[in-house]
Amino acid sequence: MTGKRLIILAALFSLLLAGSARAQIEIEISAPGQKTVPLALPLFLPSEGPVRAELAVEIDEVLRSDLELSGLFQQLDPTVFLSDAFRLGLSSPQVDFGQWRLLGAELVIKGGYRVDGDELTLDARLFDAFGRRLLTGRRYSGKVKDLRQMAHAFADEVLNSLTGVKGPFNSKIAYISDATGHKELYLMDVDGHQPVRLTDHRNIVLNPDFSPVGKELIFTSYRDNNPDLFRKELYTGREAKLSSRKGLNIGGRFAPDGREIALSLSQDGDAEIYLLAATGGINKRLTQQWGIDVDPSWSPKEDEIAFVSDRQGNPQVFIVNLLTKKVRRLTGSGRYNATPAWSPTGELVAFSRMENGQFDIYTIRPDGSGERRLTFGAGNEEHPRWSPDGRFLAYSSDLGGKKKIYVMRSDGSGARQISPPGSNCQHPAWSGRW
Amino acid sequence: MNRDRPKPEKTMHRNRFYRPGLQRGLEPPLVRMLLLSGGLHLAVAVVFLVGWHGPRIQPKPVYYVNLVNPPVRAPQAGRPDASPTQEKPTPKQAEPPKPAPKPVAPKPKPKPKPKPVAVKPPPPKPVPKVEPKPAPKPEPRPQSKPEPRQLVSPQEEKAAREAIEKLQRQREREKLKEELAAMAARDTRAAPVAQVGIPEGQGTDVGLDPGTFIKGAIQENWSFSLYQLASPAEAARVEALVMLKYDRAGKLLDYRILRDSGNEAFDQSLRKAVLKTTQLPKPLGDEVTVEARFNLKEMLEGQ
Repeated sequence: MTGKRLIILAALFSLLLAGSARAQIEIEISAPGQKTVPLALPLFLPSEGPVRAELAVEIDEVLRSDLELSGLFQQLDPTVFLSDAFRLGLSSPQVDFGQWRLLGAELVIKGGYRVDGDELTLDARLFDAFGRRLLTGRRYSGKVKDLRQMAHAFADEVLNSLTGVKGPFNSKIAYISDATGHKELYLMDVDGHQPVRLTDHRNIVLNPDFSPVGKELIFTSYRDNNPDLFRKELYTGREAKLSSRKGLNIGGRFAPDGREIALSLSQDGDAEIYLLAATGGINKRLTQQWGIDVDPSWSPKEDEIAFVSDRQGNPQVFIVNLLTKKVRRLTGSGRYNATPAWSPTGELVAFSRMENGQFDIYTIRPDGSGERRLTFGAGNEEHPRWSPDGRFLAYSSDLGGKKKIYVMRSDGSGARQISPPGSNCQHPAWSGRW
Repeated sequence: MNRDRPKPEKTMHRNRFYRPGLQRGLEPPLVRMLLLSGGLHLAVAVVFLVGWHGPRIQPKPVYYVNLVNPPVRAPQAGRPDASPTQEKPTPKQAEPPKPAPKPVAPKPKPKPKPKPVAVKPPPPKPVPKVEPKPAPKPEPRPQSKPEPRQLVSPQEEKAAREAIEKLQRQREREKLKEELAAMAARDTRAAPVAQVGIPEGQGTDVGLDPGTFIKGAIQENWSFSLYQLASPAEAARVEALVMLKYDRAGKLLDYRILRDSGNEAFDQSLRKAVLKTTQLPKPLGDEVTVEARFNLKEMLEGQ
């Protein structure tokens, strides 16, 4: 009744208002008409010197692939581009924004390249076609072989300009591959290009993790017939054993500040979570419980660690507070939950769950709410790891036979295979900003 | 004493409803039951009339999403089945020409048709005054007719063809209408789905209210991706208030962001949407000031 009265009163009131003033209407628009931003990306043109179509095409490929993965854009069909697409014009007065607006583009990326021997200079610009202004611009100089890195870096910059958070495209993904017949550590670009083998242990290497500071990796290797923890400097190629305690030395994960490493040691019987100093000494034992405790993952605030334990019968994800050592269970449903990965923003924990003999990837909030399944269908999807900006997840899938590395958006959309075909690839780890 | 006695009896008999037996039958428990029953009935009636609302349930907001038809200022304008104003001219034009051709008898069939095409506005007027002005009208027309006569064959052919095409189209339209009606009769869901316009429309609406119209136009031009935001929490938070002023012709006179969202990407997307909507697709007919509240509520519901 009061509601009706209110409506009548409001109607009368609005009538009064309508009488006194010009029509003033209130509307609510609660969703955009287009859920992507229309972007035009013409081929880069030579800013000096001869046309190098193959370079322009490769830059185009990298940018398109990265921006597509971001999910943010609707890339306009290049066949409809008008004359401005074929003019260099890298400053806003030189760009014919009218043409781009006519095509419906809100954003335009233009660029020029100059090749001098094996030296490459890349100029890239992002324009706002409606504001008629430059949003961001970068010049990259290097070798021709660094072209993909330059293009990735500009894709990162485009996201930075539009969202305030840099993209992760100019970073690396470490993974384990059996291409040589042994499980060895590899490194590749985020789009799977330029894979490089890093170890030659000729046994089993697993569970790599990047140091957040410096170009350094830790991993577990059976090189000396015991699962020991190793560290490896990428530039020098130097390797060192960090922990070779009796039993397991597995699942090493750097703290977000890089000063400590959480891992599982089984020196006292069953596997427990410990904190090591970066030099390898034990700083703290975190769990003391019957059952195995493995796969630690740091919260970005470094106050908690998510891990897997079978202390209640079957594997579940728990969270331990580093100060109080109090443990709470995170996953409430599912009989088998494993490999947690805390997002760099702190808002989600990704993990894999086995149901009906098959693994799929889920996310859940650290308070145990908002569980969401990200992968569906056939294949085992497991070992999720976050991109440094929290936008994407890398994981392994054995869909179609061999294990391959995939990346997808953090909402489960846009999944694509990135690892080279032909071998089993698993245990991805995404580097920090490169 | 004798006089006093019958008095009570008399008074009791005056009551038409008095039944001596009943008084004896009304025992205290029955009275109680009757009272209880009456009370309960009254209670039910009170509850029914006044209404007991129980725990108040906040109605969830309902969003209408027009997936197929972009909103139009006058939704019925283009509809074959609901535009009497546009459909009528054709039959009307068929009638008025008749008085005119009479003086120029030789060409009965093709003539009536070229006229509706060539002189659309004037014919409706003569209709009411058909009889008084049959003579004056033919006079001005012969002046214009020499031309058709000179170009008799091509123009009339063209006109005839057009007329035939028109007829055919009309027939096709009618056939389609019949088919649609048959489909609608078979499937009750077909009717609401086939409607063009706004969900709250009654089917008699002449057009959209300007608010819905402007909303549709701006929304169509607003592009924003959830991936532009740091998190879903941010998406639930962002909201901005924009004032837009359109003139009668649908031209944007002024706009002002009354309250920004605090998120640069979101605010930028709104600015772009407004700049893309500097001219509405149809005039408004009146100057309109709109206070538009932008958020992502509906987008998040689909997540």
